Amino acid sequence: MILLKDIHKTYYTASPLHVLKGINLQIEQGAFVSIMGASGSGKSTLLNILGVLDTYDQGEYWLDDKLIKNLSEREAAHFRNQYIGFIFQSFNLLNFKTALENVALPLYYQGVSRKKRNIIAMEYLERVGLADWADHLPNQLSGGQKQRVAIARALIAKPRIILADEPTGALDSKTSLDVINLLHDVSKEGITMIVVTHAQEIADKTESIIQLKDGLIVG
Amino acid sequence: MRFFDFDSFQEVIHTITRNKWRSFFTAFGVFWGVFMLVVLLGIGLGFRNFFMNSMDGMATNSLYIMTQNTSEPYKGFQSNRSWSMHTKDMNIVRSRVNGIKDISPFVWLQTSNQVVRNTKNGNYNIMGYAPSYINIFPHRIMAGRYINDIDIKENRKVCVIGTKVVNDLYEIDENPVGTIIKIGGVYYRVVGVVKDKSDNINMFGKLERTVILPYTTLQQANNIGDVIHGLSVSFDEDADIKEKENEVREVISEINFISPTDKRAIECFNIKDIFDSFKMFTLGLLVLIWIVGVGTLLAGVVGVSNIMLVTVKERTQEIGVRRALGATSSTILKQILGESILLTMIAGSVGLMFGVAALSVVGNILEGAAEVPIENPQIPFDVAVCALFVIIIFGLFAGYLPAKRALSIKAIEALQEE
Repeated sequence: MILLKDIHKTYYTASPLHVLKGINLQIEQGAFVSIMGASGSGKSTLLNILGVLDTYDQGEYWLDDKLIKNLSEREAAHFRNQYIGFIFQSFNLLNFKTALENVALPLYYQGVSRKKRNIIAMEYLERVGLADWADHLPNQLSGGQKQRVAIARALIAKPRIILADEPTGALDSKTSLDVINLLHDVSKEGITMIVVTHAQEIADKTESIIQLKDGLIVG
Repeated sequence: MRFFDFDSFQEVIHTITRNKWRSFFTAFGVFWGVFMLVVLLGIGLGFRNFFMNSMDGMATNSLYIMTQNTSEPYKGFQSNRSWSMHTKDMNIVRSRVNGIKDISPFVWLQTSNQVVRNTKNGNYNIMGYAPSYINIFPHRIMAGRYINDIDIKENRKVCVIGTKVVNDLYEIDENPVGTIIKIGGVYYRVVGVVKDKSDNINMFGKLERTVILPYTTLQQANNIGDVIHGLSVSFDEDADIKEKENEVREVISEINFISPTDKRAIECFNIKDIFDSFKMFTLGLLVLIWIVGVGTLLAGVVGVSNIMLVTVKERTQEIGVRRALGATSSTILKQILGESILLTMIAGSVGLMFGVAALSVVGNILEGAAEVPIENPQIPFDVAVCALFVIIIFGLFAGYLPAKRALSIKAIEALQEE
């Protein structure tokens, strides 16, 4: 379960930018939600805070009854590795590693042996229907395939939540649908799925929509 | 996580081989630096070996004294007076100056230098010494013996000849010892054959081309009484040669009525000075080599650092992804430092090997080539091992800035970079 209490975030650049102005949010385990909002509404910032990629200035962020605040770099890395899976618009696969190696990467950072993590990675590739592409490099895959590799990579560490930032932003509508269905299936297994998008048809596929405007939740 | 594991090693190998040419050119700077350092150092040390071996057996704490015309009027004598040393000067110097190990006069023949044997003849240096000269300047006795005290005492007509003289005047299988040669109409019996210990250092011409007589015999041949042309003196190892030189000058000035301030009248030639200046020169050369070599190596290391900074910049997205997937700072640090250390280590080792190989090739070519002042140009093993450690440390330094840059990459920024 995710619980946000009055989260504030300001970027101190040349002119301070108050991006999040008090976010209160509760997301149940296994929920499939989308976050919508115009650019500059603070949705990426919110996602970064949820993903322990960024810190917040004020408020509380509880993840599975653990307060995520003032974590050291090492703790944050550990947290990301154990609890959170990421899916990005631009896939962010390492293009010099095969699909299999990309999927196995989170386990590498957990210290799982090569042999074992490759076996597990293969299982997840099978799950997203890409077992035959295991030895392909990312640039030999289509956009939809890349995103499915990324999903397998997000799943492999058995995270509590998966954060997807515009997961379909670079895909055509048919592939987008496949991907969003896959994400939906994943959420049914009890993994909380949070999708940031500005495409209404994608948001409509999720169970609930969180609307962000000017750093506040409006609906 | 363990300090070394195969996975992170493979990651490092992977990133290095990903861009082979760039890695190659990056590493080349370090390779060249080490190579140059090794080759230059080897040649510098070879030069020192050559010099040290040349000086082997030389009484470095020795002094040669010769006469010049006076340059100051003194005690009624006019300036520019020509004067001579005599055998008694040697005895007085020996008794009045402390710390003398060996002393020998030297006399050269003032008439013709022609040496005749049977139908053959040639011109050679004809020198007269005392037996102790062999302790002051290194000789190698090839056959027979050197001049001895009885030769001196009895003005024996004996001589020791150089190997070149033997080659010129004798048949190949002839034994020169016991034969007779003629110099300026006087017959001498050959008692020994000598040559220089080193091919590179000689005094009054090469010993190979010299005929040595007892100095007393030569004085007689010159018909100049007990005049000697100069003195050679060696002192104890711990004697201060400058001080000794002054003492000798004082004694000789006094007995020959030379102004104590007249430095020109007594010409002193100090082997230690030459030895020292050669030593300083070699030291300076080695210091220069180290500065140039280490400088080149540093330039190579800076090159590695520089390229890796660019690489890290290029890999911002990759590093961001890794961090988002749970890579800790230490994993990233290990990766970047591992890359720079491996690169510099490989390049350094190859440079070291090539350098040592080049030196041994040069050493083989120069083997026996006496005209090149380099001998056995090799670097000591401990220097090589030390160099490898230094290279690894340089690799650490090279990786430091790029690693710092990599650590400062925030996952968010990296991932937002499209």
